[in-house]
Amino acid sequence: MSSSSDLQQQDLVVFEDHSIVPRSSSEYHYLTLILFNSATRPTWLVTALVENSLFGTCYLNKSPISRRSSTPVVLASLNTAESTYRKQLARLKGDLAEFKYVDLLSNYSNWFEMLSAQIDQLAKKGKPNVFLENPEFLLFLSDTKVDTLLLQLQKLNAKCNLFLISSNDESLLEYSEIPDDLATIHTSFLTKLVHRSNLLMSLRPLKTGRAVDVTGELTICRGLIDSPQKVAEKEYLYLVNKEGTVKLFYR
Amino acid sequence: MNSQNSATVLLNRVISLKESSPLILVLDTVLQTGSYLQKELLHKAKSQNIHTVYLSFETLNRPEVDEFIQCSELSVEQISKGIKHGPKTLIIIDSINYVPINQLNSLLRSLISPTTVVCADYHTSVPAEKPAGYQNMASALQTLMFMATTIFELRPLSTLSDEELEVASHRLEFPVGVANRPKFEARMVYRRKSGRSLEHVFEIDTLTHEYTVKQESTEQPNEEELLENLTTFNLTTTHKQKLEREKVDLPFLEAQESLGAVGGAIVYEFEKDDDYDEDDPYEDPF
Repeated sequence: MSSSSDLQQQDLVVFEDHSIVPRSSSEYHYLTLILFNSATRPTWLVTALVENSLFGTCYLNKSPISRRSSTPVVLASLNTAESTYRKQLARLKGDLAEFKYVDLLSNYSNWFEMLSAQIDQLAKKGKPNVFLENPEFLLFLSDTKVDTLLLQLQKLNAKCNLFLISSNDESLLEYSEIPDDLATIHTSFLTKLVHRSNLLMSLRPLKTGRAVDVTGELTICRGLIDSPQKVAEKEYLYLVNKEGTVKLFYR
Repeated sequence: MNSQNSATVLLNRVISLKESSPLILVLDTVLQTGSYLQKELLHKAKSQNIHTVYLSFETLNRPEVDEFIQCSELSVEQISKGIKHGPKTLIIIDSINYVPINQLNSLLRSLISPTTVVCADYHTSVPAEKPAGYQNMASALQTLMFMATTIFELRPLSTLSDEELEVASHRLEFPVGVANRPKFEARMVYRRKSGRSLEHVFEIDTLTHEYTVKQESTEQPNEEELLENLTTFNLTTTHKQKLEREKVDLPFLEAQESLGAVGGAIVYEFEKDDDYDEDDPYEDPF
């Protein structure tokens, strides 16, 4: 049986044209859904996507990326503090002037207005890539209904390429007929989002159990809405080392 | 072969809107989207200059249609008033899950007309909501299935079993190279005006616009095949064994032959109301 140490490290490729984030286009607005669970935190992947948006590079890849572009980024999180991402991005030694963090951890009441204003501000420099971590928390922190939140997200998406990072822990998908049940609300939100997505990325632990040299699986799939930029579907195994470096291997 | 041809012709006619079917219901899942089938309908409609209207409850990027209406914040009246009809019109509803169950009927009634075909997509993976206080009310899916004149149930083309696909869909796991491909399987139920319904399974390739009838083994495997290789014991019977078994006189019937020959024997005689089962001669006739 081969272990990850026997395998050759691979570059992260998401689209068939070897790009990682969707190309900025005024006509088409992409929705990417990143699913993770409690054993597979996505911080490393979000950092890679933010880096690729900002600088056109990717710290996961060995070979340089031929077509570099720069897209402003807004990152809003209801889960991870700004310092975590700043620390990760500081290692990349790039100019972070076009990176904006919106703190929803401490203030989520007018999240839509805050995020919208930040997008409008950055849009002068180009259509931004917006990352929103755990938007489903808004359903439980306030009286927001699933369809209302989806509509708000769609309004944001109309101004940017949106990346939603959400948890799909199995226990959260055990829905029932009770409409107010947490799992029912969460499943309804996620499945409706999946039906709107152009790209699906999911991080899962190994089905065979824990391994020392593999942290989990990264699956890249086309979304349910076909997009102009074609997705290169594939599965990777990934390893997050103690020092924070990440390696990808083909499955 | 003829029945296969007629099935493909029927599908072609339904998708080209030549067959009378005012409400086409598409049931999709997170593993097989209905968006490719919508594209196919739009492709056929375009080639015949049919006026196309897209009612969007979740679609952000406008597909190639004549009219695109964002319906999320509109009432049923506003939606139906906003539609311009052509001599023949195709209305696509990207997801009917968003329409409250008590407004389903009025929305569909306001859209369907002799010159209009409505194609509504229903996501079966989304938990169904029941309005509070109406626990015995039919669900939106049941209502739609009752009203629809054609139903397409979509499934990815894959060697995975229905159970495996169900688990993957429930856990939101997307099998790479299987889920949401432009070529998929569609079970079509077409209801004639007479009430008779026709059911066929197709493979639909929306890239080449080719439809083929999926070969399905509808024959049930016989008992012999089921018992074969089930255990290390031999549970099957050979032809010779079967003949021998048929020759055996069953004890209950044999006992009847010497009616009252032995003194004091209790003999049962069948009466007209007795429920005698020939397949089970051992059954107690009392």
